[in-house]
Formats: sequence, structure tokens, C-alpha cells
Amino acid sequence: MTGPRSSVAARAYAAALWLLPPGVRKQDAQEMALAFVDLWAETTGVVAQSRVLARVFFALAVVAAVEWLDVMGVTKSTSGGNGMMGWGRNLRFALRTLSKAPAFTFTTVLLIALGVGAVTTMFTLVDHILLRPLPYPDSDRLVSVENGSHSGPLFQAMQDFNSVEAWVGSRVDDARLVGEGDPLRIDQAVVSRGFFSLFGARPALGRLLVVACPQMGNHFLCYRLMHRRSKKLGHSKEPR
Amino acid sequence: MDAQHHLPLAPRDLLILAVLAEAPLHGYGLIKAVEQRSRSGVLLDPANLYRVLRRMSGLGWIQQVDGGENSRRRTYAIAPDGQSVLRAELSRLERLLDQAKPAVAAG
Repeated sequence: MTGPRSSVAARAYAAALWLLPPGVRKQDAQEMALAFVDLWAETTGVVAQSRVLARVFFALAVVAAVEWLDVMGVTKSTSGGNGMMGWGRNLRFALRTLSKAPAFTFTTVLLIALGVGAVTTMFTLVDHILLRPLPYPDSDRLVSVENGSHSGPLFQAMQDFNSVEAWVGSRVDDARLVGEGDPLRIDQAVVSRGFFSLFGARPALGRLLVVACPQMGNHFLCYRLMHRRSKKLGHSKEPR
Repeated sequence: MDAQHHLPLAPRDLLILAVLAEAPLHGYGLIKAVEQRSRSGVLLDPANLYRVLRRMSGLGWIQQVDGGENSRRRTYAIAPDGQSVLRAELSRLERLLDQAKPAVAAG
């Protein structure tokens, strides 16, 4: 038992007493703090001390919850006798039972927390991947055909399908972005004409693929990549 | 006050009343005395102890008394109503024991 350590525990307990409703606090908080100081002073050894800390703080939390229920009129346990009402009585009984089995309570709360967390994560994924429409106009009219590679003539022939309004093609691979600073490895996609307008996308800077200069090899950087590189456009890009 | 109305007492309440019946005590004294009496069967902490003390004060079972030399802390003593509840509970337990003991002795 060391001086500074005891005062830290006592101060923490005194601070935790603010959890109690004001009436209870005014009446008993000082006495409770004094009792804790005595209890702490006579507890020696790290194991015993941590056990006392866990027990005392856990009990305070439960008692504070029950006292607040009393104050709010849900239960009437200190005013004497059997004046408790239906569900308030059940709630108090549940709290008391749980407080008598802290290990069980801790495990249960932990498991519930893990379960809720896992379900939330799963739902978030399913929602974004399966449920929500894609963030493009008329996204229910978009289909994706992935079949390894389509040859040029096949792609041309597909343009004549009556049931499809427009086809665009893309090929994805790696590239290095060089220029200022270290070379940056990026994903690049080579896309056919009409790709961006099909998705209703507009560039933040510059122009879209222009028919007048089909051989120019226009380059587009995604917004995030653009911000990573200080100069906006004009970097050269070499295919790997 | 009808003492029977409050029976049976929780072990913790019974021990607190029994300890206070011997001598007035302040909060930590009660925690220690109850713990020794019950050989760590009943562990008290300040929050629960003062909750019980508030309830017992409200019922008139205990009262605050002058703590004498140790006047910095609030001291509690058992009140007449507390005495009669304690007596009623002890005789209830004794009757119960008298009824149950022969069964063990026979086995």
C-alpha cells in the first residue's frame, strides 16, 4: 500500500460517486468515500487490491443505476416495504442477479457486443455490395459482361445488338505514374469511347474523350490520385 | 410495526442488524465486522452498504448516534424497531432449524 496509489484510487472512487443521483450523493457520498479510504488502506497485495477495485466500482455502477431508477419513479425500493411496481421490480431483480455474477455478466455483454458488431459489419457489406443500387444514373439498366477478353471484331459486332443501347469496353492493368517524386504504382484502365458518358460521369478538370482526337490517348486521373500528386495534370504515364 | 411483515431478511440485512445490536459502528466498521462474521460469505462495499443503511433508516430500524471520539464519521446504532425485527427473524430461523435438524440427525 503506497500513499500516492491510495490517493489515486480514493480520488477515482470519489469521482465515480458523481454517478449517484444528487439526493443520494448529498446524503451519503462523503461517508462512502471515507469508508472506501479505510477499506483501501487495509487492502494489501496487487491481487487483493484489484479484486476490491473491481468489486467496489462494479457495485457502485449497479447501485447508481438502481438509485436513478428509484429517482425516476420506476422502482421504489429504499422508501420501504413492497411498493415496487411490475416491470420496475423485474428490472431491479435482473440488475441484482446480474451484479451477483459479474463474470457471467461480463461474458454475456461481451458476446452480445461481438454479435451486434458482426451483424452490423455483415449488413453494411451486404447493403453496399448487394442491396444498394450502383451510384450511376439508371443503374438498373447497366449490365456487366466479363468474359476474359473480347476481340475487336466481336466488340464491333456487339454494337449492333438491338436489345442493348450502348456497349463500352475496358481493359484494366497496372502502370507506373512517374514525374515528380517517387514513381507510383497505379491501376489503369484503357476504355473505349463513350465510357464516361455511359456512367454519367463528368471530369472535375479538363475534358472527356474527344472524338476529334481519337489517337491522342487521353489520360484521366481519379480524384484521390490527383490530390496525392500536387500538380494536377500533365504527368507522363508509362505502361508497364 | 409488524416485524413479521418484513421477514425473511436477506443474509446481509440480518448480519448488519446483528452486528449493530452489539455496538454502534460507522460505515467501514460495519463492512469489516460483517465480513469477519460471515467469513467472507457476505462481502459489502460502500455503495451497497449505504443503500441498505438508507433503507433501514427509512424503516426506522437503525438511527444515527453521536460517534464520540470518532465523530468525523457517521455512526449507526440499532433502533427498537430493528431489535424487534432481528429478534423475530432469529426466532423464525430457530424454529426452522428445530424442524429441519431431526431429518439430518436421522440420516
